[in-house]
Amino acid sequence: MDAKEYNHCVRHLGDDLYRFALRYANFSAAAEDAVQDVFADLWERRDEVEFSGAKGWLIRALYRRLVDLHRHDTVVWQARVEHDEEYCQHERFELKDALAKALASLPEQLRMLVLLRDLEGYEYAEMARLTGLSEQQVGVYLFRARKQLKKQLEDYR
Amino acid sequence: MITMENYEGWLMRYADGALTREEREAVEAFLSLHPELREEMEEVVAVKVTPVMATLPGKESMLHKEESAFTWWRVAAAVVLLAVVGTTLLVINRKPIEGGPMIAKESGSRATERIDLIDTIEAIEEIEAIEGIDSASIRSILPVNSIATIPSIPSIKESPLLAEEAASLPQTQPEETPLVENRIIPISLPEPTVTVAPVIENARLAVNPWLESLVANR
Repeated sequence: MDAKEYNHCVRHLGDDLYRFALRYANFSAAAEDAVQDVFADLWERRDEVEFSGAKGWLIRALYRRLVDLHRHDTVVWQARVEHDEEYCQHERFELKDALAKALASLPEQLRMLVLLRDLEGYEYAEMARLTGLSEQQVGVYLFRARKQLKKQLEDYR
Repeated sequence: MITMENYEGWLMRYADGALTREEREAVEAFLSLHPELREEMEEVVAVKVTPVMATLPGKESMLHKEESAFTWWRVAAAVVLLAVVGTTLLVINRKPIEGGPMIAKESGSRATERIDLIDTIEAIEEIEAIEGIDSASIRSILPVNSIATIPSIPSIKESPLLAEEAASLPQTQPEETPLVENRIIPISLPEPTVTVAPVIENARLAVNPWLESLVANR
């Protein structure tokens, strides 16, 4: 991957990765740091990474980065749920805020699987490969994660 | 085998379309036995997480300078291309044109030898005209190779003596004769009066009888 391809990744994947990280962390500074870290890592390893597989590489790197951050700073991550100004002005902000809080309450692996599936459209085989679970286990975790989210949203109502 | 202990994973994958046809049929058979689970599945599947509306801050600062379009390999490719085109043009321009002057440029060719011989003959004729010396006398001081090639010129062949003498001399292949030797003839001529005496008589009689009277009148 050359500089032009790397810049293409920053311009076209940067926002998606940031939203993914923001959904996971609910903390913009942590999400921004995580995304910048994985792009810096991508630049360092640009000779090893093919442009065609850059998105998968970035998602995996971001996943590992977020999991590490979460494990080292769990208290901060669970305590803070923030949104940008545009998001706060959304007409259904309260519902979305409840969803954000419900998502933040999920165990780390369940949250990651929901985000991979809903935000990145990962297939079961890809999620299984990324997390080291079987496809059946991925299905079980996703079912339980959605069930828990549903319950918390019902409590909000 | 789908059971009440593992149905969650099966139902989730069923709802997401991640099962084979046989697996789907097995799940549908299981749901027909437990219709309450179908309702639970539909409620769970309806829960989706949507992305937040946000853009990555400081994106421009993460960009790196892109390499110039004129990278080294492109320059090298251009040089090679120019070399190929240049060589091709040179080859095309050097292609012999029938009847054209380029033929004589081929060193050692028959055409070049012929031109050199013509030069030699013209030089002989010039000496004849200026110095009043006959061509046979001049030939006696010429390099052997030059004399041997002279009879191939039609105008010289008209002289029986020259043809005979040329035939008696050792024949040298024209290809082996450096053409430069012929061209120095007019420059290196010694005084003709010293060297031509023994040959003059025969040449005078055979080649140019009118010269005999000319010499005699001197």
